[in-house]
Amino acid sequence: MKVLETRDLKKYYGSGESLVKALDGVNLCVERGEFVAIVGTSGSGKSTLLHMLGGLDYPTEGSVFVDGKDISGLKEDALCIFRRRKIGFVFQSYNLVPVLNVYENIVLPIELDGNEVDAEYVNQVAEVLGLKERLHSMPNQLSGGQQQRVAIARALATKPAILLCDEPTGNLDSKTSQDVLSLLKVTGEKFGQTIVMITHNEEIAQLADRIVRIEDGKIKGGEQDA
Amino acid sequence: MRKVKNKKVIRRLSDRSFRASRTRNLMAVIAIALTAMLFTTLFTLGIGTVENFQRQTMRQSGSDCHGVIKNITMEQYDKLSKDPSIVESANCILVAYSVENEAFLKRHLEAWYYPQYHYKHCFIDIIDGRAPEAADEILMDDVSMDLLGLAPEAGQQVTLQLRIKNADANVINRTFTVSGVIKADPALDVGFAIVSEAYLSAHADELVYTYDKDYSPTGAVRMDITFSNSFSIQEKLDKVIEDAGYSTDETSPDYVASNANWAYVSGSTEQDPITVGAVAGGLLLIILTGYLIIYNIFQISVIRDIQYYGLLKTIGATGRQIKKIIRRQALLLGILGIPAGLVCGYLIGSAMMPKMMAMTSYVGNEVGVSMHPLIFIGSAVFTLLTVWISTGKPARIAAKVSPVEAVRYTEHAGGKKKGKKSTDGGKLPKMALSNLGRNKKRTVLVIFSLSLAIVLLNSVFTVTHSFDLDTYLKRFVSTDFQVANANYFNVMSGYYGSSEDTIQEENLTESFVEYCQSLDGYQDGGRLYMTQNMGLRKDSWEAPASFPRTADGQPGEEFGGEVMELNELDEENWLVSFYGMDDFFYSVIEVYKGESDLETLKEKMDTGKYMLVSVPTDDYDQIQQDGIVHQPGDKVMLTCADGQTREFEVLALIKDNSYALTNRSYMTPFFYYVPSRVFKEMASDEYLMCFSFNADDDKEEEIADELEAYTTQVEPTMDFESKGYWLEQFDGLIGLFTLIGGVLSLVIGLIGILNFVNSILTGIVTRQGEFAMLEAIGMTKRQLRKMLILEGLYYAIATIGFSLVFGALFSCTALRVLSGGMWFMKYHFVIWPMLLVFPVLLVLGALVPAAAFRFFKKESVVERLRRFNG
Repeated sequence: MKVLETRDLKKYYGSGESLVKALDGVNLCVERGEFVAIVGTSGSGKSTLLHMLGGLDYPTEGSVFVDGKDISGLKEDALCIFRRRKIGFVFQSYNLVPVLNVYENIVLPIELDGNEVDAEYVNQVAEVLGLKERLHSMPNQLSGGQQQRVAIARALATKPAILLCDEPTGNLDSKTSQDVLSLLKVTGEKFGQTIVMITHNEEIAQLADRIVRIEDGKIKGGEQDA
Repeated sequence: MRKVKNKKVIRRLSDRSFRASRTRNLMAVIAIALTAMLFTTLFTLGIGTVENFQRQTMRQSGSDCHGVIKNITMEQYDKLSKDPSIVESANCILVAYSVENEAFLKRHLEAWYYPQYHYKHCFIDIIDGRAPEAADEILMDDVSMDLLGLAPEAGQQVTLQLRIKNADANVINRTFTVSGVIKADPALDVGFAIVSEAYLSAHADELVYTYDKDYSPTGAVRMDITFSNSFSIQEKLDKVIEDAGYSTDETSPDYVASNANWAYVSGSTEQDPITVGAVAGGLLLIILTGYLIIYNIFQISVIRDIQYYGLLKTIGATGRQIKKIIRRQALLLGILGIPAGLVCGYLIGSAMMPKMMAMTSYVGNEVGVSMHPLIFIGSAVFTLLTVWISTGKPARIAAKVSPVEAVRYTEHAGGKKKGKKSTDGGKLPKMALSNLGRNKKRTVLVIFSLSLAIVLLNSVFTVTHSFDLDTYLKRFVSTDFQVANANYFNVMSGYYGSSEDTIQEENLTESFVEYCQSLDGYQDGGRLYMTQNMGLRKDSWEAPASFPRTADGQPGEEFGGEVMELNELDEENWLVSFYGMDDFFYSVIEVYKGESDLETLKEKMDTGKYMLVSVPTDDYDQIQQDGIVHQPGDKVMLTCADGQTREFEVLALIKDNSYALTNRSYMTPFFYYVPSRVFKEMASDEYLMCFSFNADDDKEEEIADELEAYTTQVEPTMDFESKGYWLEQFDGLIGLFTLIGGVLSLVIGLIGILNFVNSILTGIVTRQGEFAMLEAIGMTKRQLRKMLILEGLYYAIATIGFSLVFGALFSCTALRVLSGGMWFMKYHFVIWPMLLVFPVLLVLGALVPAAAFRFFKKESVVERLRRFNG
């Protein structure tokens, strides 16, 4: 079952001679429960693609379907609400809210949505990610790897349709990177989570079920066989 | 739609990030407190003025009761006072028509009976002794005691010369013991003697009610009434009267008169448009000032935290939620800052109140401001409004931030700089300049708010310097001193010179003139005689075409838009003001038309065939053409008191000079001047109105003191005015203006500096990562510091430029127009206050960045690079 699909997705910046085609007709399909890695060099358009997939930015042309719903036409606030319900983000720079503790950070998207926190589920996630003992620490008391695990926990807390990871290990040393990634894979499998990860590191990409290559805004391999 | 329960998390986010930005909070709290302070000061002054005037009106009306029913009998009083709507009433009785001791000629003494329980409503405040009990005991005010030559102490004996009823021929001498002394009320130019209830029974025969027969107020009851509230007092009074079986119809035999206390009538506290405009302008200025700083603080804080808001957005916070976070912080800051502002503002306002009241027509020694809740509520509301307006835009910016752009925001800025900063150190000034250009809006805001204070300061000085002492004095004084009968200076009585029988009560004594001439430092002076017992033959004067006419075509005078017929002496003569002047006044008069050579003028006048006629002028010394009654060369036929006529030719028209050359009252448009000698041929020399003289400058103060002593001790019916008196008034006016303008400039200046400091500080904080990188690539700390100082200096220089241009323009346009609109102002271009401030500004511009830089260079380059670029 397709959980994510793009149709002829285009994103252009500038105009005339300085026109940059960040994305130039991307067609991508992701099945539920799949772990997809998108790889490409810097400037290939992979970050732009992620922004489009997550509803952070509007495409110039084409559409993005998440759970069968076209999000490219949504208004700003509706997009926001869509994001917090359907998408979990993990960024290279963790992006934790510095004034909230670990637990508060994890449940923030749920609370922003005005929902009751599923404490059992959150505890489960925290347990799997090894954060049980640190729930009341502040982000600046944690190591980089711990911070990224908190970010993953936060992304998972809302049981999103897709987990989008943008260079999740970019700031970590290789040992920690391995730990975080295996945790990501394990949790993905445990909770049946779809994961789309962007990276430029081939080694890391090998952990994924499928690798999609992007170059000059176009997909150059890894399209779903179907 | 489902109601989303996310208040708690918004609150948590808001409060936590609130605690994280201490510097901004401190700045914002100070700014909000200052804004609240300005509002409170304004409200305190405004409400205080209304209150003081209301209190003054109450004092003048005699009591703080809601209304009075007048001239009734004791029986009527008993009946009326039973009305259930009346909370409290009192029977006040005038016990003598007048008190005729000579000591009370200038300031009358009224003899009343007030019930003791009513004292507090009539502002009777016993400062020594006790209330009267025996029939021969009275309360008397301290000023009246002083006029009798007594110390303000209880237990002394006073003899009052009482005329009981207005028709009584006899004056009764009655001796009392002063049982208590009360505080005289400066709002009233009247003294009070209060008798006891025992007096009423002891002298019941005198105090018989005769108002219905001879309109004698003595013995009639004035019923002071207090209702439960002050709404529609007159209706309530009418109802009380009608319910008791009397009538409110003036023609009815059962008519009972009543009126509401004017202090409670809303009409009396109505504000004139100028006051309303001034208050509205003040409010707007404060809102603008508050906006400038609060907006800047929030704008900077939002831009600094833009990534944070972007992050919240990626997680799924909506724009509305982010707006709420910021609004909540603003509210919190308001709650922290406002109370301090309210307290400071109230203190400043109360301190300024007496100075302000001194400049108005208010008379009274107690100027106070109550803690009226409206002052605090109004100020708090306006401050919150300002905060609300100021945070609107920053909140919108934060709400609108696109998550992607928020991430890119600094990357973009950083990337751009990398290229520029890699140039050599010699380009520091250029670098600093382009740094200012990075946030043009903020730069403009800082420059504007600093300039506002400077321009305002300069304007205050421009205005005070444009107050023209000469123009001001010219209106009121033509000579150093003017002496006359006290009645002449008293608006309520006045000098009219209508009859030889009563002239002794109005005229100036020759003995006082001689005393003046004998004073050390006396230079030169002259007498001015005046009579209105003189007429212009109606058939000898035809009103000019432009002269105002009544409905039936008669010449008339305009009063409040209506043309009234001219006053006449008798059927055949118009009333005229006929003046005789000593030669001294040739130096005072200003010829408008006709013979203008003073020597020739004097020569011709002395022949007795000529006269001078004054023409009316407006506030700006412009002739009011339609008020001119004669032209030079006209023949004027005057009728004297004895019926004889005498013809004069108009030699010249002179500008009117109400304070120096008239009796200061307008009963007729005909003001004729002849030499004293000619005057005395036609009328009695008893008609001596006033004497004006000049004195040596260094002796003026001394003379004023001597005149003061003379007019209180030797001839208490005489009085004087001096140039010094008007100078004091003028200085007071300037002082008030400087005070208010100075305080305002100071506060706005403070806000401007706060704005500047805030910009510099955040400029350094937000660029720490960038600075670290600059250092990493080889910029020394010295160079960095120099760059920052240059930035500060550029702010200062831009402010200087802007205030010079804007200030000069404002001065030449708005202030020039304002000065033109005030008769005592003469526009002067003033720029030095601004020039004085500029060096301070330059020093600040260099000092603030240098000081701020010290705080931020402790950490190592690597630490900072990691922290801010990681």
